[in-house]
Amino acid sequence: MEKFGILLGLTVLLCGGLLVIFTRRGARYITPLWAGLCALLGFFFSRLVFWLVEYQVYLVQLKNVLSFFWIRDGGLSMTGALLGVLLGTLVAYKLSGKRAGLQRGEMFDLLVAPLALFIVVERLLEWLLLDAGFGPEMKSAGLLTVTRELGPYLNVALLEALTVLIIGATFTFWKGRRKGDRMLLFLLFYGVSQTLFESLRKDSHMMWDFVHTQQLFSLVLAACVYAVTAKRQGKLPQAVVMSLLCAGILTALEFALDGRIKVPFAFMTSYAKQIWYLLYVLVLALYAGSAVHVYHNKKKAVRHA
Amino acid sequence: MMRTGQRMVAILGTVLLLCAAALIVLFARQVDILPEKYTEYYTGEPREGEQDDQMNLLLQMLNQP
Repeated sequence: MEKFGILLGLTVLLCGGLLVIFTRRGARYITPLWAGLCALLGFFFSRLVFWLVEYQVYLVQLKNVLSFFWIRDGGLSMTGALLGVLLGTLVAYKLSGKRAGLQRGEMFDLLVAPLALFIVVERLLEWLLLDAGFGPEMKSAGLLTVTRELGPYLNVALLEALTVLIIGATFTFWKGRRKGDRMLLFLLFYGVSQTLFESLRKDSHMMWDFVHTQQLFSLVLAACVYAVTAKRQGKLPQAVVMSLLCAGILTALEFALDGRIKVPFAFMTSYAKQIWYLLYVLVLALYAGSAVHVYHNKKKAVRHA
Repeated sequence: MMRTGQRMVAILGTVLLLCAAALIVLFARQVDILPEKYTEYYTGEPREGEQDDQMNLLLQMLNQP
């Protein structure tokens, strides 16, 4: 058994405990089943997504379907875990949540705090135990760096943990307009922030050639949330256009970060990467801002009623 | 007080949660570097990021007196 597995297992139990605390008294009896389903499906999908992304190794080169079960050799995906947890909640709602008097949206909202806690702990464990989640080389060591063999690197895992802590805390206590909104906006901001952090990561986790698949999945997650909120307001075309525009600009910025697009002025050359990442943050902030604006903007017909 | 049915759900759920946690404890390893037995199947081309590290290591070795 590894420290990582032991601590992650304990975190899952802690998250279950958090779910019990946040669920109202009359429905608490379903929380162990709910947490168990989330943990089981989260683990399964975490492995499945990794295995499918690495199909070149497992299915093309090794040609072995049973490689799915070689979990002890490594390979899990946070995107898969997230998918599994959301699916687990849907299953729990169908099996016992409805009968316990909980609404589906309410169950997703209650999940925000435990899910955020799990992601925070997992990222910290990646940094502390697995020498993963490091970004570009830094000139000097600091609070947000991790020292490896060749010097200090940006500690992206710590940045991810801090970001999810802030987003999780915000949407645990924020009152949405309707049930389910807290989880929706948590996923939007998680997706948007992960798109940036996965770009920063240099540990080559889950790559399709030069594409960071987790980055792609994060943007798709944010786009799905945008689409859901936009559809409610009858603005689905706007969500599609904004998502495609954002994806296009970020792709261009990725090429720029690879040095294939030069900065317009010579004096900017030594700060090129910083400039491109600043633009990256700006684009993602505008994208998230536009999604939140659509969320807050009630339909004109309702406003004038 | 919980009804009998609710108690059953709570107990079964707790067993399921403990089994899931045990599975995670036994099998979870967030490792992307696959062991040597797989490496013979790799093409040998470095991935993005690995190239930077290899280049840096080479430069360090060349700069040594």
